[in-house]
Amino acid sequence: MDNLLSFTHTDVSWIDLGLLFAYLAGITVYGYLFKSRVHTSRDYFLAGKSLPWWIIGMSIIGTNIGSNDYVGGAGGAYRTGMAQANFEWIGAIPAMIIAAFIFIPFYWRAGVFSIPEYLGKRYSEPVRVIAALILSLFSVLIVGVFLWATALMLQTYLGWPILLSILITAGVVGLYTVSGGLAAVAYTDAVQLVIMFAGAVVVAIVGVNAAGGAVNFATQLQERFPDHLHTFLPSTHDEFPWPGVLLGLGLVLSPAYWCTNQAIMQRCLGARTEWDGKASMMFAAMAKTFVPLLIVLPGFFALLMAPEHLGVSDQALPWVVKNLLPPGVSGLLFVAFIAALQSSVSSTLNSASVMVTRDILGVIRSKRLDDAAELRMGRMITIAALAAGILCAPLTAQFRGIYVYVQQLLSFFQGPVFALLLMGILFKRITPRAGLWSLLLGLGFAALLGLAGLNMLYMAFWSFVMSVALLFGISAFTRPKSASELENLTYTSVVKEAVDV
Amino acid sequence: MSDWIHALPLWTAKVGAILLFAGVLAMVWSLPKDFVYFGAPDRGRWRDLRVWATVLLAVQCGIYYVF
Repeated sequence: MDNLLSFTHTDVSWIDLGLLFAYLAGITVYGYLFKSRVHTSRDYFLAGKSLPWWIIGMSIIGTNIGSNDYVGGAGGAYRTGMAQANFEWIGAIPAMIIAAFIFIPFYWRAGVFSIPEYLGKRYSEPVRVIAALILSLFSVLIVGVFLWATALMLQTYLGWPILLSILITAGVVGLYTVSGGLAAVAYTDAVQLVIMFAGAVVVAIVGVNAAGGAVNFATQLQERFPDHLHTFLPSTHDEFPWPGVLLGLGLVLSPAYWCTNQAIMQRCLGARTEWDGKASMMFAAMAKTFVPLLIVLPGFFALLMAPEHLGVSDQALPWVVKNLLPPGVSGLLFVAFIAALQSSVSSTLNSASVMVTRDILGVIRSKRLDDAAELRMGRMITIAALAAGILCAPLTAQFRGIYVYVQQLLSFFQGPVFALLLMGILFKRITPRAGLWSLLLGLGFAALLGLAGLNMLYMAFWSFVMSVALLFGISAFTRPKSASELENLTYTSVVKEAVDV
Repeated sequence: MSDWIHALPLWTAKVGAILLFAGVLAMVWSLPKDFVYFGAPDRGRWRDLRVWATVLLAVQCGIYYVF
């Protein structure tokens, strides 16, 4: 993010500023309009189970893409080439298909509001609370990261003070997230995705034209940088060794992200039918297929057209913005950055709110809240999570690379949580006690691997393997739940029900 | 990672990727049709999500075969 300092506010034209203010005002008003739809906690947390597949699909990708994807993606493409796209292809598409066919039907039919709630039904309430604590703590930290990243861009691009930038972003996102709940989040995400794609497409067109046309661009790339056109890099590569990409990213990190991420899954739980939930993820996968073209291309533009080698690869996108884009287009890209960040903040806030309200406080409190009180509590928790995110935001400055920081945080718990979900769905024999101990020991094992300095891709893989082994080992000596308790929670019961209907 | 993995040629990665896609495709087509359509308002061919998955995975196979 430091490299965004390459933007300077003196470069900003009135067209760019006009675009930014029009976007901020428009998205606030549009999101706030959804307030009238919220009457119950189900409306607030799950959009009243009314969302169509195409809105959810757009919202999923809007939530998934952040400014780190733009800056880090272009920088990665500049540095390593096509291998960067693994995060969008092999590191996403198979997992999204598995999420659509295997996970979403279970979550949707179980009638849960969150993934920890599913874990609570499948295993036990302690598993639910521990998972919710981890995921909501991560959500608050991530909100802080996103707010800081947005503020940094506003500061460097417009010259606004960091604190003011954080408060403006938090105010805009907070207003529509608190008032309109998941519906506001999902529909604004969809608008934000259109802006992001529009910005990226315009950049791609301008860049290809500057390179002398599509044919010239491809020929030059092939002749001058043939090593940048490989998706897989040698197993000795520092950043993306192919075994790590296949085993860590393809088999563990990616399914763990796409199948267990509360911010991603929550909009699927708000689908109007189970088919809409499944189709939404497939639609998102289609959009995801094209994301590398939009975020990797700027890295290639800088590679071909920058007169001298850029010292820091993450300067690739700022270089393109500064040197290739005319006024108006650079403003559109900047608005796309802000939209990408805001969609991630709003989704994360909403998911943190549901987990704290229902999976932590709802379980700890002996007396269940009535619906109106739960709705009030959900809104208060959203405000509290936003406030905590604002307080956490400056911590981000302590870390050098935001993208790596986020991935490292994820790799600490994704392996064990994914193991619990996958094995819990596939095997009826896995027991509640095995779930609890595998989660705790798997987290401890991941922490040990992290302290030992293992690459995060391998860390996720081995903590997953460890948790699976513990699940089966402990289940062999403990008692499973009965068939009636597992109804609609395991693979065989759900598939059988669909066939019987 | 073990030394034997480092000794494998780079094309092993491509084979691994394509096997992964094929495995996911096989899983998708092994699912009952009723399960795939469950909740759909009608049984239009375009609502068969297995076809969507096939298109997606075919594109992935193409990408990883070329690059």
